[in-house]
Amino acid sequence: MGCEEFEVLLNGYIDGELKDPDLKRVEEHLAGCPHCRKLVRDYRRLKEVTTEMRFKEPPQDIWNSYWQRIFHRITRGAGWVFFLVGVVAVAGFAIYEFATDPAVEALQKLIVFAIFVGLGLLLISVIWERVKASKTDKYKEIER
Amino acid sequence: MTLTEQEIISKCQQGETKYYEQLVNKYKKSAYFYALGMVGSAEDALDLSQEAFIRAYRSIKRFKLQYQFKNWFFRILTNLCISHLRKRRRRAEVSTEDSKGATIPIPDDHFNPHLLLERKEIMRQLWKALSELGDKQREIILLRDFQGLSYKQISEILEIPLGTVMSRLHQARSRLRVKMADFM
Ligand SMILES: [Zn+2]
Repeated sequence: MGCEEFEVLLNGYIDGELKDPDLKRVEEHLAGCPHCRKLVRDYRRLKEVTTEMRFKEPPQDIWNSYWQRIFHRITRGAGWVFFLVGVVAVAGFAIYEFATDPAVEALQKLIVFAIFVGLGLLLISVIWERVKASKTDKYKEIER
Repeated sequence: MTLTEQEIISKCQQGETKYYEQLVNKYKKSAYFYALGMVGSAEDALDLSQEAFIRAYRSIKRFKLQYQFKNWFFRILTNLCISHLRKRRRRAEVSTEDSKGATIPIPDDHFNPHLLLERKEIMRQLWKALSELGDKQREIILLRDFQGLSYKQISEILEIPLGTVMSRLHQARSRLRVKMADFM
């Protein structure tokens, strides 16, 4: 096995993630290879720097209001669901009343039905678009 | 009364939203800083990390208790960051061409050194080098060295085998090593 094939293992080695027999093989190779020992030193140094990197803290308000913003959006979502369920229930009831009302003519009923069916189809297509958009938008699309 | 993470999650699964606050508080900082490292913008990092918590909550019923919440959550977050970066790049491609199809350079404020706590030359260079890596290479460096996760955790988050974790980390670090040669 040449040095190149060891290079990948060297990263596992400096991360303390190697187990025997790989660990033993790397240790034996390192003992006789100054090139790879230099690589180990470089990667260790690099790792020190990356581990040290820190970002500035955002203003404290960000942390204070962090949960509230999430909570509002979660509960707002539930609010919409209740709202839609309510609207559908009321509309269904109204349609039922209207359809079974003997005072209304059949033609009128038909026209009103057409309007509601049209609205219903539009609503379904909008929801369907949203679902499709959120599917492609979401983490699911990412192939790894 | 302190609840274990699993107890908190099963409360959430029963619809008790208020318990979710404990999980959010536990992971909000690492989520925010991880997203910041991925996308290089404080505003976007805030939005993305919060969006990830919201999406996690919305699908918490599907979460299986034998897994680690953190790994599952970071999978959602990391995928959000990657698709955000893709969209940003697509937008940049569209907006950088004028009517004749010539490229106009747009000022890009992402990965600004002002986001760093310490602006030593070596940190600036590292931040610049990280921004020049591919998304997946930056992602794995951040998960390993910045978040301090084990290969096992990373393989669960990214849904890749352990061997791929090691080889991808190797690719990412050897590119970084070249970019950081002046400081090595
Ligand atoms: Zn060697």
